[in-house]
Amino acid sequence: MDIDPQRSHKKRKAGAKFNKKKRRKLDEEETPVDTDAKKRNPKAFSFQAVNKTARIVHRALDKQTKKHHVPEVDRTPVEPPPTLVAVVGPPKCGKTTLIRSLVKHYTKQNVNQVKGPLTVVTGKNRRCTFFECPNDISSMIDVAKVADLVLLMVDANFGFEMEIFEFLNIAQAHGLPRIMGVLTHLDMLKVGKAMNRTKRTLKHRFWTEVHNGAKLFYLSSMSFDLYNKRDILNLARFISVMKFKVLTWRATHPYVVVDRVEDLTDPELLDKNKKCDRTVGLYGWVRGANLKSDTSVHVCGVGDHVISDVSLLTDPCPPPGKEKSSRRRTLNEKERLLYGPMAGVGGLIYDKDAIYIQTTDRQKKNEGDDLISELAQQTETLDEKLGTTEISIFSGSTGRIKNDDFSDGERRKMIFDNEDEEEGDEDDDSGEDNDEEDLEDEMNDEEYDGSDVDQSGEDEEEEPDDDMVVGAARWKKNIANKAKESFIQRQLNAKNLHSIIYGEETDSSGQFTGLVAETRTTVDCTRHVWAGESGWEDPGRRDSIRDCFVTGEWGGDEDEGFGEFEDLEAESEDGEENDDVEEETPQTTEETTPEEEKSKYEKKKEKLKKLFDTDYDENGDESKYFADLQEEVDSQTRTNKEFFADEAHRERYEGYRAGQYVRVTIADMPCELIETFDPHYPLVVGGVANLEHQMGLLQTRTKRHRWYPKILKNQDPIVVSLGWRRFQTRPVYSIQDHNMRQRMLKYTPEHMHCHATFYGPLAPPNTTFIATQGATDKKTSSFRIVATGVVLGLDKTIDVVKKLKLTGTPYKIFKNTAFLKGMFSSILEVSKFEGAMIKTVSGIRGQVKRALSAPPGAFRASFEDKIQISDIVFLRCWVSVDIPKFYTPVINLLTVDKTWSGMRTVAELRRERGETIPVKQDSLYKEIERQQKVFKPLVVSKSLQKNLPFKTKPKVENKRKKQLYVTKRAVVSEPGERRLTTLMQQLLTAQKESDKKKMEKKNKEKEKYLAEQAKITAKRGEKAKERRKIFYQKNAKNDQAGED
Amino acid sequence: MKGFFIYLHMLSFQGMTKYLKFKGDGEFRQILILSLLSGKPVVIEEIRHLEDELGLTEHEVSLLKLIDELTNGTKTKLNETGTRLVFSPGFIIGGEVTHDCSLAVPLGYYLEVLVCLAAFSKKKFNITLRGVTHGQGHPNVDTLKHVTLSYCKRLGLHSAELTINKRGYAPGGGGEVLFSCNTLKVVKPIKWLDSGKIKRIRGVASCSRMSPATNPRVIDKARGVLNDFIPDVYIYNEHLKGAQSGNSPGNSLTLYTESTTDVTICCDNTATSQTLPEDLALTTTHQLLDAVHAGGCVDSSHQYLVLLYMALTQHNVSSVRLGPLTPFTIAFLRNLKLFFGIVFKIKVDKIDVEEPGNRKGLGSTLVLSCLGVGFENMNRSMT
Repeated sequence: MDIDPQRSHKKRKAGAKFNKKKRRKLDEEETPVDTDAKKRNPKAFSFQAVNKTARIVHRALDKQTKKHHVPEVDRTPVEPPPTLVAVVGPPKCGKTTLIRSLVKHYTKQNVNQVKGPLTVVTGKNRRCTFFECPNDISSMIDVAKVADLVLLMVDANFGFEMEIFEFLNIAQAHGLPRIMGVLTHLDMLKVGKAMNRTKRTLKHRFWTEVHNGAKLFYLSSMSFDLYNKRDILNLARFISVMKFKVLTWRATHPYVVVDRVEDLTDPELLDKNKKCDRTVGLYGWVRGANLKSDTSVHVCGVGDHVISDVSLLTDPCPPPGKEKSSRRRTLNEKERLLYGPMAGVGGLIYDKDAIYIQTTDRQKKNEGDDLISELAQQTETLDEKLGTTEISIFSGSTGRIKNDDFSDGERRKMIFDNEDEEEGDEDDDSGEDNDEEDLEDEMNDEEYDGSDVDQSGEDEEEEPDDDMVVGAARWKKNIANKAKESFIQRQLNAKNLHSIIYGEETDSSGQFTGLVAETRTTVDCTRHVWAGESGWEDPGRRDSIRDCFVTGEWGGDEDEGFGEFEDLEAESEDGEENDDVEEETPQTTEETTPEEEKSKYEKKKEKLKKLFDTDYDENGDESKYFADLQEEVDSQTRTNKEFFADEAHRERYEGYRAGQYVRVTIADMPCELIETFDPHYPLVVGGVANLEHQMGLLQTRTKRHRWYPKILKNQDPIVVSLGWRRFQTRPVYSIQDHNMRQRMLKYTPEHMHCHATFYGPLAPPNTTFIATQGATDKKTSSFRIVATGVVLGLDKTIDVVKKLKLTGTPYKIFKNTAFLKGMFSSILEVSKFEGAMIKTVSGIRGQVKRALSAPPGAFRASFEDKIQISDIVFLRCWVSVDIPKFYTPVINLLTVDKTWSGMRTVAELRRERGETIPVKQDSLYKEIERQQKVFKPLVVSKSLQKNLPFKTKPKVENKRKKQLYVTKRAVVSEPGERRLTTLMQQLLTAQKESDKKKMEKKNKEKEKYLAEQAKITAKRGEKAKERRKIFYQKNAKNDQAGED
Repeated sequence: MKGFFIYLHMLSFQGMTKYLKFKGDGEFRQILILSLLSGKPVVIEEIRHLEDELGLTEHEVSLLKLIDELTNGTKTKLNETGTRLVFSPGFIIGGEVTHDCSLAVPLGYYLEVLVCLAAFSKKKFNITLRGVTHGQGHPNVDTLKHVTLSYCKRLGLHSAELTINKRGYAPGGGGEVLFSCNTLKVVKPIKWLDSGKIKRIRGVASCSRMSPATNPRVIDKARGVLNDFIPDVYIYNEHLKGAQSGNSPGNSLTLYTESTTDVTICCDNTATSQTLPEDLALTTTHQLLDAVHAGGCVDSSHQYLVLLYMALTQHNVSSVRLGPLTPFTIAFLRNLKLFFGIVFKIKVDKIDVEEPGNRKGLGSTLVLSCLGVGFENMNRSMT
C-alpha cells in the first residue's frame, strides 16, 4: 500500500517546535558527547541491588560446586570379566526358560539344563555369565553379593512373592547391584483392562522397592518352550547397554564365581581314606580387586581357607574384540562362544597341565568344523601349551591328560632364564666402558643362574674365591673406602636384587656373602652408617657430590631430576620422544623440507597452546582446587594402569587382575564339598582383606526388619551375613544412653535402631549386613530376614552394661550416720564401693564411707538426713555383660540337602519339647498387703491436765452409764394408722410378686430367641468356610507341586 | 632386668589364624609393628639363646609393655628363659599414655615404633615417654622431631608433633618427650622420584650439664666442613640447664639437609665421654656427606617408614627413589612380603657420574615401586 503523498510528513521549518529542536541540536554540538555508554551513564551499569547480586553469584557457585564429586581412582580393568547376570525369582516363574532363551538368542544353541554359571560372548568386547539363583536364603545372599545385574522374575499371574522382597532387602544390604524386573506368565491374564491394571499395580509396587522408573520387562508369550524372540531381543539389548556401579566392597576385595570344580587330590590318598581333605581346583574369572596367590579366602558356605596356588589359564571365552579379525559390529558364528562346564557345554577347556575337549551337546555335522575352528583360533596359546603339555583327545565327555614331567616351578624357571638373557644383553649394550666390570657382571650372571637352577654348591663356592684374588690385586689402595663402594656398587648393580631380597637361596650365592652375612645378623636399628672411615678430605671425593647442592651445576636440562622422573614414569613415551630427537637431528643438519618445517611450526604452536591452557586454567578457573584434585586422581589412575603393564612378572607385584581366568587351588577342602557338590548352588571364593581374618567384637547399629513378625531377644542366635561370610552368632542388644553408656536391652525395640554387639570375624566399619533367623530352608510363611544393620566399630572388648540394685538395711542409726548391713558380703566388696552414692526408698541420699569389721559386709554410711531403722537403702550400679564368644560359620554347601541348622533359640527348643516357660515364684507380682497402722491413744497425765488451760485440755467424754430419754421412750400408734401401714405393705408385696413373674417369662423368650440365632449363624459360618476353601484351592499356588 | 616375664592367658585361636615364625632378635621391632598392623600373630624363637645375656633384654620388655598399654587385646607370652615370645596382636587404641622407658636404649627406639602405629589407631596418640633422649645406636629425639616427623607430614600425617620437654643423656636419662598424632583413614600413594638439590643444611647441637662452650666448638667445626658445599648452614645451639637437662652430662649433634623437593637427609651422633667436640662434629658431618653421597629421596634410617606407608596404601602404585638398602630395610622388605604378601619392584637407575651436573655421588639409585595392599584403618570407628 502506497502512502498518500498528500498526507506524508512535513518537516517543520519554523515555529516553536522547530526552535526547540534547533536549540537542542546546538547544545549537543557544543558539549562533546561521551561515546562510551558506561562512562556516560555509570548508574545503569552498576549493581542495582548488591545483596541480590551477591545471592545470585552465591547460588551460581553453589550449583557449580554441587556438580563436583570427590574424584576417585578408576579401577575398572582394561579387559573386564564377564558381567554376572543373576536370574532370581520364586519357583515356577520361568527362570530356567529365560536363561535358555537368552543363551539361544546369543549363541543359537539349545541348552537342555541350566546348571552352574553359563558364560556367553554377547558382543565384541562384552561377555555375560548367566546364573540361576536357587530359592533358599543362603544362595540368595551369595548371589546378591556377586551379581552385577539381577533379573528379578515375577509371575504376573500370581503377583509379588515373599522371595522378591527378601532378595531386594538382601541386595540392598550388600551394595545393591543393578536390578531389572521381568514379568512373566502374562499370557495367563485376560487381555484388556484387567491386564493393564495388573501391570500398573505391579510396576508401581516395584518402583517403590527399587527406584522410581526402574525398568520392568514384560515377557508375554511362549513358543517352543522359549520366550518370544522379540521380547528376548529387547531384553538382550537392555542388558548389553547396561552400565554398572562400582560397589565399595567388591572394588576392594577380589572374588571368583566358580564355574568349574575339579578334585585334584592324590588318588593314592583317596584310596587310603575316602574322607581325607581334598585338594580342589576352583576355576573362574577374577573379579573385583587383584587376587594374590598366598592370601586367605572365604569360600561362601564352606569356610575360610588359604589359597595354596593360583595359576593363570587361557580365557575359555575370550571376547573377539581384541583380535580385530572382522570389522563388522555383529558377531559371526565362530565368535558366539558358550562356556558352561557345569552344564556340560562349551568347547575346549584348558587346565594348568591338561586340555579337555568336550564333544557332547554339539550338533553332529558341525562337530569337526567347530573343533578345528576353535583350535585355529587358539593357535598361539596352543603352541605355548604344546611346549609343555601333551594333548590327547578323548571322545565322549572329558578326559584328563596329566603331565608329571613338567611341574609348575620349572616352567616358571624357563621364563626366568629368558629374562635373564635379555637383561644380560642389555647390560652388554649399555656398559662397555669397563671390561672388568663386564667380566664381573658376567660372573654374577653365571653365578646367579647357577643358584637358580640349583646346581651343586661347589662351583659357587669356588668362584668368589677367584673374585677375591682379582680384587686383592687391583684394589690395594684405600681398601676400606673401596670396599665400602664396592659393597654398595654390588648392591646397586644387582639386577638380581630381587632374588637377594626375596629369594630363599641367597646363602648359596657366594658373591653376596658380605651382604647376606650382614642381613642374617640384622641389628634392630634403622640407622646404617655406610663406612667408618671416609675420605672427605679428598677434593675429588668432595667433587663427586658437588652437584647434589644448589650451588653445584644444574646440568643441561632445566631440571635434571625431572628428566629422570619422566624417564621412569613412562618409559615407552620417553623412548619414543628420544627416537624422535634422534631422527630429527640428522635431518636438520642436512635440509629441511617445507613440509617438515610446517609440522615443526605446528608442533611449536601446539606447545604454546598447551602452555597457555595450563596458565589459563591456573589463573582463570575458579575451581582450581577441584581440577588439581581431579588431575591428581587421573594421573594415579594412569600410573596404576600402566606401571606394571609391560612387566614380565606382573603377577608377582600385582596379583591376578580382574578379568583373568584362573584356577585357584585350595589344599584343605573338606571332602563333603566334592561329595555333595551340586552345581545349582553358587560357589563363591571371596578374598579376605587385611585384618578381616581376625576375630573380635563388632559393634553395630541394628534394626529389626519391619516385616519380621517378632522382636528379637537378647543373646538369641541369629545368622549374620557380613562381608563374604555368613555365620551364626549371639548378639547382645544395647542402647546408648546420653552419657554414652551402652545399656543392655532384653529385646530389640520395635521400630527403632539399637546397637548389637556380637563376636565374629572383623569387617571394616561402615559395612552393612543382614541377619536371618537361620539358614534352614523351612517352609515359613513369614519374612525370613530378621534385621539389617551397619558396622560401627571393632574392638576386642566392648562394655555393655545392665543395671543392678543392691539393697541393705540399717542396724544402727546416729544423727546423719548409719551402720548398714546386708548389701555386701565382705570388707573387700565394701572397699570397692567406697564413696558410692546410696539412697533410701524415701529419697534420702547418702554415701558409702568405710567398711566395718563386725558383721562381714557391714559399713558406715552418711546421709543428708536422719534415716529410720525401717528404711531400705539401695545402691544403683552397672554391671558389664559378657558378650558370648560364639561364632559358627554357616557351611550349608557341605551338607547333602544344602540346608544347615545351627544353634537353636531357647524358644525353639521349648516348643520342640513341649515345655512351658518356667515361672520364678519370686518374680511374680502379688497383691501388696499393707497392715493398717494402729496408733496408741494419746495419754495426757492427770497432773499435766490439771495445769493445762481449758483450751488445750483433752475433752474426752466418758461412756454414759444411763440411757437418754430419746432411746429409752416407747412409741404407740393409733389403730387407723396401723391398718394403713399393713395395707401398704400388702400392696407392695403383691406388686413385687407380679413383676418377678413377668421378668421370668421375658427371659425365657429371650433365651429361646438367642438359641435360634446361634443355630442360624453356625450354619452360615460353615457355608462360608466351604466357599473359602474352594476359592483358595482354586487360586492358591501349590508350591510343592511347583518345585517338583 | 632379666627376671621379668609377662604371663598372660592365651586363648586357643581359631584354626584359620596361623602363627608366623621368626628366629633371633634382629627384627624384633619390625615384626611387632607388622604383626600389629596386619593382625597376624607371631612366634619369635631363639632370642639370644646362645648368649650370656639370655632372652629378651630390658628395653625389649619395656617396648612390649608400652605396646600392651597402647593396645587392647594384645596377648604376650614369654617362656621362662625369655628366648621364646608368642605375640598375638590386639587393636591399636592409642589415647593418653605415659610410659617410663628403659634407660638401656634411647627413646628413638620406642618412637620409631610409635611413628609406624600412630596413624592406624582408634584414638589420637598422646604419649609421654620418659627416659634417655640422646644416646648411642638409635636416632635421637632431635632427628625424630625435625626429620622423621617431616617425613610423616609428607606421608599425610600432618598433625604429628613431638615436644621435647626435657633432654636426658645416657646413661642417667631423665628426658621427657610428648608425641601426639592424629589417625588416618587411608594412606595416600606417594611418588618421590626427584631428590632435587640441597638448598640448606640445618642442625641442632645440644648439650646438658656441660660447659656452654662445647656447642660453639661443635658448630664451628661442622660449619667449616659444610660451608665448602653450601653457605646456607645453620646449626641451633641448645644448651640446657637445671630441671630440663636430665640426669647425665652429654652432648650431641644432629644435622639434616633440605632439598628443593623437600627431601631431608639426616645424620646424628651423641658424644661418648672420651669424644672431643671437634671429633663429634667431624664424624657427623662426614656421615652426613656419606648419606648425601648414597643418594635417593629418603634417608637410610627412614627407608622402612616410607616403604611401610607405600605398602599400606589403597590399591595404588607408589614409587620412591632410594639409595642403597640397609640390612634393616632388606629384612623389612622380606617381612612386608610375609605379613602382607606385597612384593616391591626394584629397579636400578644409573646416571653418568662423569658429566658435570650429574656429579651426584654414587651414580646409581634404586627405584622401588609397589601396588598397595588396600589397607584401611579398621580401628577407626564410624561415628
